[in-house]
This record gives sequence, C-alpha cells and structure tokens, in this order.
Amino acid sequence: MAQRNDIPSGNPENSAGGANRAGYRLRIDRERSNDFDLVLLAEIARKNEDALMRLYDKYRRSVYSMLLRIVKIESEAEELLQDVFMQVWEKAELFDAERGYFDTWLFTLTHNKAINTLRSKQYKKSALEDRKDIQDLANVVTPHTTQETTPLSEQEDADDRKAVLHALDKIPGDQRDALMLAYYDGLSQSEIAEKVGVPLGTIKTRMRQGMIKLQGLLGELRSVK
Amino acid sequence: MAEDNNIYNEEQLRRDRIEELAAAYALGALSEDDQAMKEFEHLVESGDPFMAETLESMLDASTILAFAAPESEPSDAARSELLSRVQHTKNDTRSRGRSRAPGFADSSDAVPFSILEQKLKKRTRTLVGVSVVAGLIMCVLGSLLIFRSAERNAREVAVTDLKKQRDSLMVMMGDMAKTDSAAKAMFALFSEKTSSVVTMASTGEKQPLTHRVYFSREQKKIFVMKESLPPLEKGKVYELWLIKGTEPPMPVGVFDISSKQSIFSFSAPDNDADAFAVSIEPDGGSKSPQGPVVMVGKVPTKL
Repeated sequence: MAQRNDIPSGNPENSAGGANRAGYRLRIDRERSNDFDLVLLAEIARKNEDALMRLYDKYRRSVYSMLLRIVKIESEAEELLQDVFMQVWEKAELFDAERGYFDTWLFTLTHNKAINTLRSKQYKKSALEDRKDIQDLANVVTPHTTQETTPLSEQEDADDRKAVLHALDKIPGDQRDALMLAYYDGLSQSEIAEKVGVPLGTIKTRMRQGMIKLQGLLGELRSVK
Repeated sequence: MAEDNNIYNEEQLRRDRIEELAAAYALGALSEDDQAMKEFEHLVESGDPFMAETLESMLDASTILAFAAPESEPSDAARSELLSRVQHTKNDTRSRGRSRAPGFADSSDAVPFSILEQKLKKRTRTLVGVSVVAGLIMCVLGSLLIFRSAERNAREVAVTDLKKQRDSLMVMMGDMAKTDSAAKAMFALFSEKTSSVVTMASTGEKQPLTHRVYFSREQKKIFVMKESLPPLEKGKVYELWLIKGTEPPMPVGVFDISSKQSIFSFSAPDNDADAFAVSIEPDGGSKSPQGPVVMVGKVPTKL
C-alpha cells in the first residue's frame, strides 16, 4: 500500500475543487473504505447476511457497470453480479488484507467472470447474435453526461469517475485503446494487433507502457495534495 | 565493463518481459493456449519476487479501468435473488464443504490472492502448525494440476508466499473465537455517527509506518488491529495514548503484537480526543510516555 508522509487533517472537501478534490477524496476514502470492507468481510466470514448485503449495496453499481459493459446483456450482467457476490460470500475468510485492497480483489474477480463468459463459445453463439437487447456501450461516457443532481453517494461516485476519466485522458490514445480493447472487449493481444493493424510486438509494448502509466496515475490519485 | 553491461541489459530485458506479461494478464489479454500464458504461469510458480510485486501492482492499477465503464444500476430483483441464494446456501449444510451455489462458477473463475486460500481453507480447518505448511505445498501443486485442466478461457495464478499465508490463516482460525465480541463491536462502530477512524503515520524516518485507530465515542471504546506492525524486542510493548488539547497524554492501553489477537479493544479514558499516539514502553506500560513515540494521528471530526 502507498505510504503517506503527512497526517491528513481538516475536511477534505475544503481542498481545491473539481477533479483535484475528487482525487483527494479517492485517496482518503479508499483507505477508510478498505477498513470498512475488511470489517464487513470478517462478518461475512461468520455468515452474516446483513454484512454481505451492505457490501453489495456499496459496490453493486460499479461491479454491475463493468459487467454490463463487457457482456452487454442486462440479464447476463445481473446473473454474473450475483455470482460475484456469492463468491465473496463463499471466500470471504480467505481474503488476505496484507496482499492489497479489497476492491482490487473484487474487481479482478468480476473482470475474470465477465471475460470468461464473453469468451465462451456458447455465449458468443447464443447470446450475442441477433439480440435486440444488446447495450451499445462501446463508448465511455464523458464527464459531461453525468447527472448533476443525484443522491450524495451517487454524486460522490460520479465525481470519482470524473477523476478517473480525466486521469485516463493523460494516457496516449493508442495505449489507451489497447487497454480498453483488452479490458472491456476481452480481446487477446494477437486479436488486438489484427484489429488495429499493427504488429503484435507493438501491442505488447503499448499495453506495458499503458499499464505503467496507469500505475503512475493511481499513485497520483493516492498521493498527498 | 562490457560484460557488466551485458548482465545489466539481460536483467533489464527480463524485467521488461515480466512487466509485459503481468500487464497482459492484468488486462485479461493472455489466452489459455498462448505460449505467453505458459511463460507467465512458470514465472509465478517459480516465486520470482519481481513478478509477484509487478503482478500485484498491475492488478491494482487495473482497478482504474474498472471505473471507466458507463454507470448502470442493477434491478432490485437482482438484490432479492442474491439474498435468496445466500439463504439457500446457509440452509444447505452440504454446501459448506464445497464452494458451489446455483449458477456459481467453478475454480476457473478463481482470482489471484484467493486461489491458494480457497484450497487451503478446506483442508486446514482442523490442521495446525507444521502440517499446514505441508498441506499448503500440496495444495499449490494440486491446485496447479487442477487449474491446467480448467475450462479453456480460465486464468489461474498460484500464490507462492507460503509462510505468510500460513501465518495469516493460523491467526484467523485460532483467534476467531477471541475476536468475536471485539470484531462485532468494531463493526458496529461504522454505523455510529460520532465515530472516527484515525490514520496514524510514523514519526521516525527509518521505517515508515501507517496504521489505523478506531475510536467509538458512543461505545467509549478504542480499537487497534494488529496489521503489520514491526515486532519489538523482549520486554517491550506498544502503548496507545489519547491526546486532548494541552493535557498530558492519557494512557489507553498496551498491545502485544506477538500475541494471537488480531483486534485489541480498550476502554477510552475520555469521550473526546484530538489525537492518538503510539510509543514503545516496557512490559506493562507506563503512566506517561517514556519510550520513543513511533506513530501519531489527528482525529478527524467525523467518520
């Protein structure tokens, strides 16, 4: 985990506005959020249903949004959403807090499930062909389309998302495209190379450099302002 | 000199290759049949420390991408169905020994960090001490065989930090009964409007530390988790202090991280605090700080 040299004090909301404020809150809230998650996980390990539903209510939007973006069908995304939290229910006691943040574990688990589904032959054959309810979510929503009046927690999520999207804009376009094609469209490196029309080695380099930049951005979002 | 340059270049190339593989894995861009996947698995299984560190940070960085999807809200029915499935598994005692619920995927959907623990937990519930280590090694090898035969698009990673995993499991299993009431009280803290989570940071330069103190004004209790504080020499303990205004620091209590406890619970000497501090004191603690102060943290106004 990132080490901090300053002791946070005062109200984070009084710092600079816009994306900077959201980035500052991301850092503070992620530590606090992770503490909360660990306590909930301890209760889930004791088979406390209320704790699981609290965790579900906290993460349902972000987990479902990722699933829907990948599998593109609402019913399938909701089924996978339940599968994700059933897995949390079954494996809560196995999570090792020293290995990293809980949300990393959760989003990695979610991504694995979604990509496995997307890549299965059965899904491709029966689910994606001639479906009228497929969501056309290829385009990432820009900050301008976020609603202005929402409940506080949803507004905070929207602010966090703005901060992330602003951060992603700092990555060169070709690197960002390679990341998004892999992460959200489930393409392998060779498939991306074919789609984009560049050598495989170029895609490997773009992915590596893009992810290294993402590491830096995550550090910025977490750094003391 | 030329030889040194060659060695440096080889090492740099090796690290670049590891970063390339870890990045591709974190993005889900390595397919099961890919030669690169085999190379990746080999590096993970070998326990290469640079691979372990790089993979962890790449997976962490990929969480940024998780927030880039357009926002959508699932239906209320999804919530109800989840609750129903959970209650179904609670009623079905046979499902405890095997992680399967209706619609639940098999181990092909397992995730880094948890795969090894999933296998270990089932076997080590009644095992203690040295037998756990042997069971862990067997599970790593067994799980690797199982993972290779998983469905075509599955991605499995084996965690190789055996001793750390064993110790963590030992603490959790051995301490669950003792920490029940402390964990419940700490859990309740997050529902209280007047509680605070205090981030502590080190005062020294040698070994940066961060830690957290949980302060419940409602319960008039203070909680500290063991986490990863460095061990102390024999005859020394950590002591927690409550600081209010210009008054002398009030002793809260001592906690011995060599014990099996994961959560330490104390009665708060005061209902309010401006800051907390941790110092190193002789066994039994001191009435006023004598030893070096290793961490301090200001109390925020609300949770």
